[in-house]
Amino acid sequence: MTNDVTMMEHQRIQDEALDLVFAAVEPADLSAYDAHLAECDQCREYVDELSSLVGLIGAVGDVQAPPPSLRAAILAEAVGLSVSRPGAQPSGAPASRNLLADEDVDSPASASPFAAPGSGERRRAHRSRLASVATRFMAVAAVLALIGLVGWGAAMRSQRDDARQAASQSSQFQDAISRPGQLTVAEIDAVDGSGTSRVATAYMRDSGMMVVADDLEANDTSSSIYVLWSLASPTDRAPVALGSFDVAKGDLMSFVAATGAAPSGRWFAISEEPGRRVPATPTKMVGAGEAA
Amino acid sequence: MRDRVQERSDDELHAGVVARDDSSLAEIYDRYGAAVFSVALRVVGDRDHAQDVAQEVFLALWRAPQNYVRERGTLGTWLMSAAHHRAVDVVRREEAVHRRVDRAGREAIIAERESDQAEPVHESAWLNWQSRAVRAALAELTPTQREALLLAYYGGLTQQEISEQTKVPLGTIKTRTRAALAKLRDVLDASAVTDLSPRLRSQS
Repeated sequence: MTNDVTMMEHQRIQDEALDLVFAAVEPADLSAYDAHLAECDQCREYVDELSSLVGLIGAVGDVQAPPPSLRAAILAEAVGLSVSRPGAQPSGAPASRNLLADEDVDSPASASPFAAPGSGERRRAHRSRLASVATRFMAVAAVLALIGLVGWGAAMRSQRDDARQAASQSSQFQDAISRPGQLTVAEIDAVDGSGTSRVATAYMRDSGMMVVADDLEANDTSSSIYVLWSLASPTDRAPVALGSFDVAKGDLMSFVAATGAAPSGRWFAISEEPGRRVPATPTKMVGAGEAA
Repeated sequence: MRDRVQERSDDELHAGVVARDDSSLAEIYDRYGAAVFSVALRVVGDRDHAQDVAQEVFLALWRAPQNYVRERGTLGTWLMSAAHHRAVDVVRREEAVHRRVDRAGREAIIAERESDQAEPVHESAWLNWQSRAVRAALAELTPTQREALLLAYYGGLTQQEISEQTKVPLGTIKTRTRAALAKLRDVLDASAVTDLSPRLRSQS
């Protein structure tokens, strides 16, 4: 049913959806959103889309391994064995129980991922929350520095050019990687005898190739170039040059200018070459690896 | 390839959880546990609380698996979103009871502890790829867009609070945040992060 009331609801929900998806809505205010979202496909889709993007932001940065005991604790609890995890909150603390209770099957509010856990007791005075905003604001500055994405203030401006460069690459990467067709991924490890340290990962398909440099030094683009080779076997004496690329400081990825040659096997290697030409045979091998 | 048992898709694992198969839950945990834990850790700032959040996220999935609807996004994204929401809530609860210590001091402690205890996870091509893709997408935002987005995400601030803190009008902040999310969507569109994942996974 579309009437003036629901139209105003749409506008309000969509206007305030940002707070909703960033978990910044007071628990006490959530029920009004949930009631509308439960009935309105349009608003729910809008909020869901924003929400899934917000979920992705969490993927940035290094992934830390949780302690092994966590897995066991979750599985034990799932199958009905109550096992205390070392370091877990004491059972009296308002930790897991209330949060879990909200996820019960028959709670209509929990149908959305933004249903606030434990609405009742965690309702807090708005004033006390505002008082801590400055603290959180500063904490964010620390996080920004931590994930190495941006500086703050002046540093931010100086990185703008880098960001532009990355942006342009990112679009191309997106374009290259998302085309249909077989994707080949090869992890290239160092060949200097230092063991198995990863130097780069190569992503290849008919429409384009790119290299994500894990540990490749930036090359001097006036006097050297990297070359991606294909090998029939690890001992292949006649590798085929697939293309060349540069690694610039701060780059996320490099696009390989293809020579047009087809891969000769499942092994790939990277060499660093003096001059700006692709030679017939590699000069200085940097790394090699087999396609997964 | 190699000696790997055929991996089950996220959909199959989710169906397993619906059917009360705890090995499916275990496999979902193996796939996304580190990502969920890491999201929580970055928001709450300490490992104990991050573990609590991760535990809640997976047990919530176990107890009410129908809350995840495939059409709304990937399972991994949904789990990370749930982790973020719970983690923000934990931070606020901590603040409310005045137990929050200086964040910077705490991060220094955490960094020390992590270098001792935590081993970065490398085995998941999907996670590594996704992390890179998101980082690249964030780099594509303008600095002001990025600031608005990350203040909301990591700070748990409302749009109004960000406006007050940055002294920028509320309407402008909302526009920036929306534009930032739209840009993220364009860069990370389904093909890159959603469709690529099974392929990368099956090849790694």
